[in-house]
Amino acid sequence: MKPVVELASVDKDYPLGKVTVKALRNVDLTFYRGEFTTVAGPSGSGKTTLLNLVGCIDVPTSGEVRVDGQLTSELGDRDLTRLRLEKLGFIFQAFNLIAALDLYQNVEFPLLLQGGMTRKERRTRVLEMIERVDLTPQLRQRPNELSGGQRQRVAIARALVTRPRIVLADEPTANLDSETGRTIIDLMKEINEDQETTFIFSTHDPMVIERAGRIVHLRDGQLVDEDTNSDSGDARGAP
Amino acid sequence: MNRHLERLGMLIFIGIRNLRSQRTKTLIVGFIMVFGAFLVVTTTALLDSIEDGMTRSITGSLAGHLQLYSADAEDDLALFGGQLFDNQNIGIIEDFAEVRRVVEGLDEVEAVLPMGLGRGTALTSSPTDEAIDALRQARLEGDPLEIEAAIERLQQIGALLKTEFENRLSVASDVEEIDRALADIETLEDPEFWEPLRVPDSGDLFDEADARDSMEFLSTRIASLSEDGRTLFLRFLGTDTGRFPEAFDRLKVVRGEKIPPFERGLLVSERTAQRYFKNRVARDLDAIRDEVEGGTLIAENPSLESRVQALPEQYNRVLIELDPRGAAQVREALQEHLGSEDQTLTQLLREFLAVDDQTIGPRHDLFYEVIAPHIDLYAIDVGDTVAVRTFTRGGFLRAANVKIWGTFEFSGLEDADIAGSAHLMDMVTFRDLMGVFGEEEMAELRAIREDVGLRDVQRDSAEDELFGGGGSLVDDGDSSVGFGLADEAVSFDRDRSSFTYDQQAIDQGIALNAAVILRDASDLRASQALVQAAVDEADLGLQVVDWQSASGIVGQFIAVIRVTLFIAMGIIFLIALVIINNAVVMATMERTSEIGTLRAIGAPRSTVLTMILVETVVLGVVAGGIGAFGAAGLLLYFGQVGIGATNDVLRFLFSGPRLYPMVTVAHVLAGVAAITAVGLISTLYPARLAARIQPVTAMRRGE
Repeated sequence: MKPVVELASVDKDYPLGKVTVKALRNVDLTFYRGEFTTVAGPSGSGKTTLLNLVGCIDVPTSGEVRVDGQLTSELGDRDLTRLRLEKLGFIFQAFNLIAALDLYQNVEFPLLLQGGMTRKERRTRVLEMIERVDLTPQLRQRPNELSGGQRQRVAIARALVTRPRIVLADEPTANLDSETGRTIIDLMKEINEDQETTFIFSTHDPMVIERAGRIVHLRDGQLVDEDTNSDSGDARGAP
Repeated sequence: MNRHLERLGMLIFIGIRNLRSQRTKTLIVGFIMVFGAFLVVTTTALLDSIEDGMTRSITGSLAGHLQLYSADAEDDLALFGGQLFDNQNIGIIEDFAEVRRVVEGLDEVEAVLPMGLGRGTALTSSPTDEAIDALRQARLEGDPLEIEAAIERLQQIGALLKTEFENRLSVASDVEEIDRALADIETLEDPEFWEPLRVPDSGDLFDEADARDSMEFLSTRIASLSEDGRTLFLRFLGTDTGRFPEAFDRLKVVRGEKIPPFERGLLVSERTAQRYFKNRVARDLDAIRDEVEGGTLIAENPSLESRVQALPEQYNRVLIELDPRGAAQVREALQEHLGSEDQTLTQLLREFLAVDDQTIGPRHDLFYEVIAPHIDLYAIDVGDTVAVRTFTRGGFLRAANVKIWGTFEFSGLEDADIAGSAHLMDMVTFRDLMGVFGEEEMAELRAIREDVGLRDVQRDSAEDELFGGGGSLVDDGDSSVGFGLADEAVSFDRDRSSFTYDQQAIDQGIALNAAVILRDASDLRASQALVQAAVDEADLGLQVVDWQSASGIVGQFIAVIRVTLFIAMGIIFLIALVIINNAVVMATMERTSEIGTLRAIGAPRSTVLTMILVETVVLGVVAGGIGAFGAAGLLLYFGQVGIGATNDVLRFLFSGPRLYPMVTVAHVLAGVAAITAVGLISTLYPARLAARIQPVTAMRRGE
């Protein structure tokens, strides 16, 4: 199994007023290619912090984070940005679509940032991705004209359009009803299986946890437990 | 490249969408930008139009495109310097002919004219003097009717003087002197006094003894009581009056004619004539009529009101000018106009001059119709020959009789005191009056002074000039040859006013400065350098300045206005900067989450920065465009109908009664560019703030 993200003895402290909050403590963790992993734990357990570190939008206070072999603490803002653009996809709890752009443009945007594709290639890729999330009829609609589930599907399309190694999803179902949440997770799982993309979630949604191939439990910033879901499995197959 | 363009296209798209969604911010910033661009376009276009007009007025009236004057000058040349710097010493151009040869030899140069600004005085005769002259003349000619008329007029003057001095008696402290004057005046009431004068001059010394006594009494005792003979101060510009109208197209003859080529003479500034040479009553009537016609009510304007109130007391200034026949005609006309029968002329005039808002118009007209033909409307007028006196730099009094051929004004500067105050004088007379000496002459003078003593020289010279004697000290002998004047011009002639000369006499001699007219003035700097090079090569010791610096205050006027307006605009822009900055900062803060998302999904800082700036540019172009085109539309409209000048300063600035502003594409572009630049500057800080938003913020929940 090929590791895509490795965390070694990671500590992350946040200053909060006069005190320092230890958000993560001595975390050693590896994510492998094609995994469908859930980071579970109560609020404040450090789920989001872990995702931030993996997502290269934050660096550890001590310890090492390697994303696709690169040590993030050694990279500057420019390289971290590049790394996010090339290797990572993000799905947010509040969808975070760009309100000014329509569905098609939202999905196209990361490709524009990346560059290197002709307009035609880009179009093909975007349409394919939109087709994949089943939103072709809504192509020219703007985020505020879409339902929550539709928006999260747009977010998935946007996260995946660059064909990233890793997709990070921070509580992706928290703002959705359970039915829609389930479809969203199923969709992600399908993609995970098709493309061997590594998915890492943070969630407290039992439905999501239930569907994860691997579950990492966090409490008070520490890794407390890890198990695998034999019945749901993930792209790398049950161990 | 393509990728950057596509990304930019997307950012512009986002920008436009955001402008629409963040309406409050867009409206605030947009309004400021519309206003700013409007301001920039109107201000720059108006200034340019004014400058264009002034350039034409100034270069086309006195300055030409370039001015030459001595490189050793102590002061800067200030053609329109005004009264403040009248004693400027700008040195001398020793040999104008050579300067003309060298500079007119350049292909770029159309003409070079000699110039020199000087000051002098002209003494005008009083009505009393004229009446005495008339009597003398009538007696010599032996015309009894004329003699009677002249005597009657003198008696009338006597009556006026009596009233005046009786009034003075009540307020004066020196009673003795006034009593003496009154005694003299009362002599005129004695018929015996006039008896010897009523007969024609017999020419016989013995017979004439009594008449001579009476005449002498009039000339010495009475004439001195009347103060109406005035000393007029003249500023004149000596120049080649023959070539001047050709070179300066703004010159417009108002009355009379141009000074014919090679004639001596003076062309009087019409504005100065109207303001200073005109009869006081006529001037007041003009001014009141102009104000009232301009829509002012007399009661509304305190200075106008006091002028109106003082006017009836000026009746004297008309009365003293009228001869008996004129007086009779005026009396009749006024009786008819005022509908009264049994009043004296004094009362009639007083009533006539008591004008109000309604009567000023018709009375103004009647004044010019009935009264003006009988009086000397101008202290010096077209056709007169006046004795102009000057002091040379050496301190000598010089005088010349100069004929007034006509009056002129410069189109566009009609109402500008500062430009219109100088009269035009032929160069030859100017040189006579200035008596500017070269080195040689100064040395000779020093020698003479040492010989005779300063006091003697001054007095001799003054007497010679005053009594038109056979030539002043400097005109004697060959001392003037150094001026290079033709011989005829140098020799002193009693009646110099009728003397003619030739082109050589104009050119060969000194000038104080010289105006250069270019064929093409579009590149003034280059032409200036070219002319400077030419005069340097010929070793003429001259400096070349452009019209703007040569004009003195006036030339700098536009620059000063421009700087003032730009400073004002700068302050407005500074305020705009702060407001726009605040609005954009607040708008950016609202978008923290969105920007964080962009950063998280891989947008570099530069993209965020560009996104915020692009938004401002888009708004700047749109709002700036609206403002700029709005301003252009307004200016085009005023370009058709003109903007009226409501006062003298504006008339001067507008180079006429109305300004027809011009607006060009460059003005519009400048307006849009300036406001976009201001927008960009004010957005730099918020854009930097936005670029520093951390991608982590995208992960915060609840937005």
